[in-house]
Amino acid sequence: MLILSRKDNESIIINGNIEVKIISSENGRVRIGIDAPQNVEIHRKEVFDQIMSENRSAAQSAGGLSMLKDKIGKKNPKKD
Amino acid sequence: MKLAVDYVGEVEYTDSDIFYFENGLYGFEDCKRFILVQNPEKELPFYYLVSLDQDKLMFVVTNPFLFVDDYDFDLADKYVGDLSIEDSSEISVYGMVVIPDNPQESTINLKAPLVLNNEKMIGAQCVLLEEYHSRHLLFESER
Repeated sequence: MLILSRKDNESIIINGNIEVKIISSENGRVRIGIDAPQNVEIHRKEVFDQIMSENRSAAQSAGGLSMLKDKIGKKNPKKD
Repeated sequence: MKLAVDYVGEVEYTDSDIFYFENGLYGFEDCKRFILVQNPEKELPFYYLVSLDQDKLMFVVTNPFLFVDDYDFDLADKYVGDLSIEDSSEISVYGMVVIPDNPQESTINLKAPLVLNNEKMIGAQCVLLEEYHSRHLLFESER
């Protein structure tokens, strides 16, 4: 991992077209501004990690489908 | 072509059944080709999203609008572009379902739904900016 020090209002350029700017920092909390092309996805890492984790759990759920049979009987799904 | 799918049996499909996910799924970026397979319990509104690129990889998915009131989101321009969407009639939305040991606690991922373009046979997992949960209980009214 590349580690740099930046002060408030200083920036880093990634890949020539993504700018990461330190807006302000206080008490261990940093406000970061990101300027990137529209096709670049940007998410908080926790969101990303959670989605990966949910995907992995979903990949292991296939065998459990038959267990849902009586659940669906009790709650009728809405029909559109 | 034929594929042996766990819990379903032998499935026949053609190229026109294949959805292409340019970026795969989060955590499964190399898995780009999928088919949607009806589960054998036809009264259950669930499907399997079956990978053609990784053996035995399959996900349980369902239509979130059947289970969730007021599920509504704006699809970011990036995804509209990636999915070549010209009209909302082209798309279907699915949520990944997790079924734990206690099926009462099954959840659906509303934060990152799968959006499929049925005309162009392209798919993508789209992370929403709206405050939805990646673990929304499917059967919450039963507690």
